[in-house]
Amino acid sequence: MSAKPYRLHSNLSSDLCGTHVNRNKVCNFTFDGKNYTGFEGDTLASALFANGVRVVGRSFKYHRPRGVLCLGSEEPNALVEVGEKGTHSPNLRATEVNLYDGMVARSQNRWPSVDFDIGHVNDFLSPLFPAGFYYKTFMWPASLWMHYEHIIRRAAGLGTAPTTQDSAFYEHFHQHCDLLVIGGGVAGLVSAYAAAKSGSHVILVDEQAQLGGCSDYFNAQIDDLDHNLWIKMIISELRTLSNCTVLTNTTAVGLYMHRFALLNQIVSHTHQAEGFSPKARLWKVRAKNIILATGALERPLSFANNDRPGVMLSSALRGYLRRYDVVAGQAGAIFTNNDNAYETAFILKEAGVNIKAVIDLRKQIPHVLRKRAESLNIEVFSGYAIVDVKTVSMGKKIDHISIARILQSGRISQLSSLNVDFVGMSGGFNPAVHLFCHVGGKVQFDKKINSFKPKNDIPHITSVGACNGVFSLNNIIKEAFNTGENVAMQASLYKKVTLKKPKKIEASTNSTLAKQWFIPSIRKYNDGAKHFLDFQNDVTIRDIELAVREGYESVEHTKRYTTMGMATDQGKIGNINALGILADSLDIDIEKSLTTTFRPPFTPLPFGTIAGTKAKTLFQAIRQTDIAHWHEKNTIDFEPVGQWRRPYTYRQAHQSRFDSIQEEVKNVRENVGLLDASTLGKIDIKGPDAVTFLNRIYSNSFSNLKVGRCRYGLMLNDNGFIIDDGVTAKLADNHYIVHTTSGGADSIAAMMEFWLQTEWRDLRVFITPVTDQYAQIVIAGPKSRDVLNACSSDIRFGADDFAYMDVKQGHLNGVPARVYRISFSGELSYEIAVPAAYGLSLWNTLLECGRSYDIKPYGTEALHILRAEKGYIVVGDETDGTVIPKDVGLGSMVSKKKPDFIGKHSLLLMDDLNRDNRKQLVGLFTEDPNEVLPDGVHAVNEVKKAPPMKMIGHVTSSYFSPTLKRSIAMALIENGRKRMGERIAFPFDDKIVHARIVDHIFYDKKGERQNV
Amino acid sequence: MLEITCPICHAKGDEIDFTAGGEAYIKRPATQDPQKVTLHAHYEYLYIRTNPKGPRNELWHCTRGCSKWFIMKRDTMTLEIIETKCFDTDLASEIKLDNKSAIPKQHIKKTPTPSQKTTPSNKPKTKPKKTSKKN
Repeated sequence: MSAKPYRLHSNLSSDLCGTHVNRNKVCNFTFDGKNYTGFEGDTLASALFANGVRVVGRSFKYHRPRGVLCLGSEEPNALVEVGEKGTHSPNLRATEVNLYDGMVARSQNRWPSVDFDIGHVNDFLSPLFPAGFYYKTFMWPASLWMHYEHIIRRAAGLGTAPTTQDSAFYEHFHQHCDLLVIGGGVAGLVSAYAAAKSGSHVILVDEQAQLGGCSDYFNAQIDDLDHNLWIKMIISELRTLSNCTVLTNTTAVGLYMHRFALLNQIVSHTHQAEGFSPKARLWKVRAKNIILATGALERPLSFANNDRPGVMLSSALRGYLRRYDVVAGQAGAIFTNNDNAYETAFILKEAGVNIKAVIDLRKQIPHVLRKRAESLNIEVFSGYAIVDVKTVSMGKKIDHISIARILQSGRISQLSSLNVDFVGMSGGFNPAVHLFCHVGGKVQFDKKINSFKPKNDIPHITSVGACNGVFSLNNIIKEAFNTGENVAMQASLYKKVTLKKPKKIEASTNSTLAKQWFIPSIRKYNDGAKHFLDFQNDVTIRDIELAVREGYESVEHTKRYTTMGMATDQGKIGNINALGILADSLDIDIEKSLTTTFRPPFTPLPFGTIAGTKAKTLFQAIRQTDIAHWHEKNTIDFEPVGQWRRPYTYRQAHQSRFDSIQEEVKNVRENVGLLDASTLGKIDIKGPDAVTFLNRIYSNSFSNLKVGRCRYGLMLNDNGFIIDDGVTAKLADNHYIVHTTSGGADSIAAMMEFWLQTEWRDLRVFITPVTDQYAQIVIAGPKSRDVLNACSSDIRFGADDFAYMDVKQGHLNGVPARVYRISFSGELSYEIAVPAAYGLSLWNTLLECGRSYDIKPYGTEALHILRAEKGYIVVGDETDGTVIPKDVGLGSMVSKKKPDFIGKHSLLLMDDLNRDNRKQLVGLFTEDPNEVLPDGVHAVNEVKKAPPMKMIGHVTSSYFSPTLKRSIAMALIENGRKRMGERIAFPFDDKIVHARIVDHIFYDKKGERQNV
Repeated sequence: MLEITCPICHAKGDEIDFTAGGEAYIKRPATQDPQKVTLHAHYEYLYIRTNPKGPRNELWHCTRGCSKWFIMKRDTMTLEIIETKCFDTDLASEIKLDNKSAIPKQHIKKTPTPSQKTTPSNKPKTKPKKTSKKN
């Protein structure tokens, strides 16, 4: 037989043991490159135990060898990477990783290997690494931090990030329910059963693969039968109810306001993509009521070297035996302060495991326990403690433990040793209040359990069972039935039913536990005998005491100074012990101390799960104009503008970007160019009060605008700063179309709605965003009129019929069209709007009609050069949210007549907006005409050898102008307009660039070209 | 994640479906009398908010629903939504403001729908003239 040394032979153990594993199905796996086998149903942790692997990781700071401590998600030590390097998932708890055939897993935080770790030297140098060590050492000099950080990041830290793209996919589910029950143990199952039977729509979640919580590793009788049979009956009933959704392998990672819960469901256990099934699914559940049945977590005892591989939580030992038929070693001892751990000793002993002794801190032990231990030949040391754990092979294996009697005085006597290679410890149980605290729930200290339990002060959220501090099976079942029924009564579909409640429950009861946070040691205190509190962050009792000595008395300060309760652990293992030690050190009552804040997520949530389907091409929707496919065929060069992708310039891979842009600009100035301007924001404004509304929204006046005419408008916020600009056309009485910037269309429409709905509720105006309803094409250049004349149209484009700033409605090639004679390039130019679906056909028509006039499309960069040569501003380039109209030379756009418009009173009243030396828009000519300044560089008054130098402004736009055949730039410079002709400097690392201040209109200052 | 019900179209959603617009009932001096705007009043309007620890009136926008702004009284400590209401009392009396109970069908019909909005002739009926905000 191929029985593993630490896996019990199935014949030897009872029916109750090994319930999770299927011995007929062997799984091969590797851990740190070595081949092992386990069974289907194993977790990685249980399979490693079965193979006798004790050391599964190195600790965070001291690099001490560590083994598995727990059975479930609270495991602080056994963090592993699963999957081939590169595509692996890091920081998984081996206790939660379900084994599959072919699994590849690795330990973390060790170098070069988990068996031999150079960082282990930190353990012997630990006097040099006290709490707050990093703060103290690296405070000075600051310039060396970059150097230290590199070393620290390598030495400390958890797993490594995957390097390749995740091939799996993830999804999000949204769900509503009457009741969400978190935790599938006895309390959760019974609550869900009671509510679902009474008609409520229930979701029951549990992080483990199987329901039942910890019921399979304690003994009890319900109605004279094993309690597990009764629980199985409840589970199978629940599964048949269509109004109850049962989710296993699903962790409630966070609880938020208004009963909103995040559930992380692991769907694929191979950590790979599996066909059309997602790797994980994030449930966003909004429940009317939530029942928390999250159970309790066992507390370690704080004795010397309590972190050695082989020292485990007592309940975990029991769990590994019952579920997987594995034990941690050959001979063991149990160290406890309560009754519960005796159960571990009995269950293990009865299964044939050599349990030598129970060491109990208490002097008084219930008679039944003592008697049963005697009958099983287990020695009981009452009033004793483990005072040291001696190891061999560099701390990787327990050799023996030292035990001693603890005297009233705190001294120890009658020292002896026990040859064991594993220890189960139990310091009592902490209600798992984490989720309750996520939503701001308060906790209170319960003397009976020596821990904190919820105050239950949040409406519609109820804690039930062990997480509520209730530990007797009888009371748990009673409480769960009541809570489930009560919640169901509030639901709309309540129906009264008779529930199958148990009549007789027999389970072990718990007597008082010993309240001792600190266990003395035989060695000089803390000299090579560390008492660990937080195993994951390597926080010892000494660290807490040091923090107190150095003045960190508040829990929250101590947490940050010592790093206790941080990272993935979030205080699951060590928090209550640390609070006890802190209270001891401050000589206060623990009841008066506060807990630290437990924050989501309860267990780490992978980024992929958070992203869901919003990854890769689905990360953000791309808006497309009707002409988009033509653009894709004709250029490789796009730039993102809001959600749009606009052609930057039309070129193929072999063409240079610079040449292509310069060519496009030249062609507009000399012949004619075509631009897809469909992305431009368009808002349709109608109503009897439309003109009043425009007058209040824009800084300039629209009162005298006639039908068929256009006007440029400047939009401010109420602080007086420019937020948008564009051309407004009057199509008919009470009907206008407003153009906004491409990126600002949605926010401007929303802002207009805001003013209309909240401030000017008397105005009769309707706002309709119509950006997507129209395709809009700009045809610009001296030959643009010729091209339009060559098209078939009922609109006359001649200078006398169609003046600058006119708008005309008619047809072009039989398609209804609005034509605006406006210009952002300074050339003779028309903008043609047609219904969106006709965009491409118009584009092709214009290209066809313009062929003999050398028509060419141009992209956004040419558009920007053309406007910069003319000195036109772009909101967001020349403005940055602190620029007023006067700053950019548009002071005349601020109406003096209008009594009110958005921004008016700030411009009038605010001192800062009226000071003399504000930054003003100017043009720049670099001394070297070929030197193009980068956008955003700062100019200084006087160049010095090193900073600080007083900065006087920055470049807002900068291009090489093909029209002027030199570099041009626009800049906001302090008092710029009074400094015309002055020479200013831009210091760079390797050079200084000088430039002369000039007018910001570089070309055709009188505007003759657009007015022909 | 707040659970919000729009008092106008009764759409239910969370913060993602709605947009917060800051404190409600901030008076804009220029709207009241543009001739008498003092620096102090204007400064308070722009920059001073009450920021209470407890109930506060806020503006919220039903971004993915009816696109209307409404008023929400919310406790900044407990995040409990105490009350939501629309600006118009006339509209408010037509639709029952009760988040908890299902809204009777006949009330839903009376709320303005997008098709009514775009027809100017309908407008004076649904929008009372010259009503200022209810404080």
